[in-house]
Amino acid sequence: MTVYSQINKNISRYVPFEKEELEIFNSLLEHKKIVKKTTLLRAGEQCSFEAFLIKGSARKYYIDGSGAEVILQLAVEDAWLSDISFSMYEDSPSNVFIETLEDCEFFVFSPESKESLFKKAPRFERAYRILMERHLAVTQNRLFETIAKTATDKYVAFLEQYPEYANRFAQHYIASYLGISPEFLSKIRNKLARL
Amino acid sequence: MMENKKTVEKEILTNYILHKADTRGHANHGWLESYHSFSFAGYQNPERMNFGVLRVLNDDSVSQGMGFGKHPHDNMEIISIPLEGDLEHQDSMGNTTVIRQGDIQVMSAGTGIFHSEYNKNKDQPVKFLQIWVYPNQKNVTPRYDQITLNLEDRHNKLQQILSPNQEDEGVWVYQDAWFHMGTFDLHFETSYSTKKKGNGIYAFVLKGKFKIDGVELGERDGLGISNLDSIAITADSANAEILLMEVPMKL
Repeated sequence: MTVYSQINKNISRYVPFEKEELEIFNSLLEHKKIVKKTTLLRAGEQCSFEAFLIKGSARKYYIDGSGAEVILQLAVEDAWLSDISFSMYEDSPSNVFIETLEDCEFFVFSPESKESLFKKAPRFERAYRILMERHLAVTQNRLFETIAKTATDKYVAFLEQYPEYANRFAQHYIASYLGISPEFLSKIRNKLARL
Repeated sequence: MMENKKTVEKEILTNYILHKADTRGHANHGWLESYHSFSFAGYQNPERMNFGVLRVLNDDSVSQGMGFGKHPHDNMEIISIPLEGDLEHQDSMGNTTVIRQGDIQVMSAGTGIFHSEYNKNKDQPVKFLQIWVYPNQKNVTPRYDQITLNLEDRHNKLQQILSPNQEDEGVWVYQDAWFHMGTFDLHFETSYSTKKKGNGIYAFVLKGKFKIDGVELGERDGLGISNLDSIAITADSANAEILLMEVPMKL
């Protein structure tokens, strides 16, 4: 067990990498420790990192003109955290914020180290392509659920998919992630508790 | 040779930490170019997290008509000092204001606040310093203040622009901190003594060259001094401009 065991296991889900390939992968990762409540990315900036959460939790969120926050992702250990502006070139700034919610430990790629990885160990392109496809499927599903499901059904599905999250994240963050008001989520939880 | 005991003590105890301008984090997002003296956003360096309660010192340049959309802050004293151009601020308390060179703005974020900051002009960039200081009280009611200072009062003089006291010159903050700014003629000498025992000083050169206790500083260099009573400052160029931030060292 090394500090890289977790991330190597995560990426090897998609491609059974050789030891040498994983060594190249590990050599390009930057290890970072960041305290809680640190904003890593602000809307308007170009995202310069693709991060793997070793320890801690973070959120990715969007704020509209009236100050209402919409959480796009709640991340815990083993999650990948970035913004699409990471792989876009100069003209596409981020329109989201990324903030740590607990003290975190990350492995981080920069655009340069990511490109270097693909040059030195080309099979990683396949792994990241599959990771992206899965991420797209999850996002598509979430879009459908947000539009079509009732608030209660959304919350129940959330509990089934991410059982630990209810204890890990504050209720108002979960409400924002589900697209419902904190008061309504409270009502739903009370109703479910009485069943 | 008998050395004066006080001199020896000062030489042993006073601590200097130099942050050269080009060691700062740098981010260029096209519309925003920013230099971070301490960890911020994409620049995360565990050795550059803070100087006492001074947590953020950003040297920002924002393109015409662009800016930071609404974003949240809490439990932080956020100080903005425009250097060139006009910055428009809008916050969730209903304030909409424009600040320009000579002004200083403070926002005590307290329990939480949203604000946006935009370059008001469509024909020139706006350059400003954004400074974050930890407050000495948590969860205060959010407040906003700005004042216009007389630039002449800082010629060959350290003008107080921020203090803990409402009745004093400058804006006030929820912290035992004092900020001063001055523009000096070549070879002008002055000194600064801390107003609260135990406080450190972070000096930031805005223009030109200075010497502080013999340490040479160029434009945008930062020098953190702690365990001191006073510092000796010499302007080594004409129209040299400096910002001194006296802050508690204990978080």
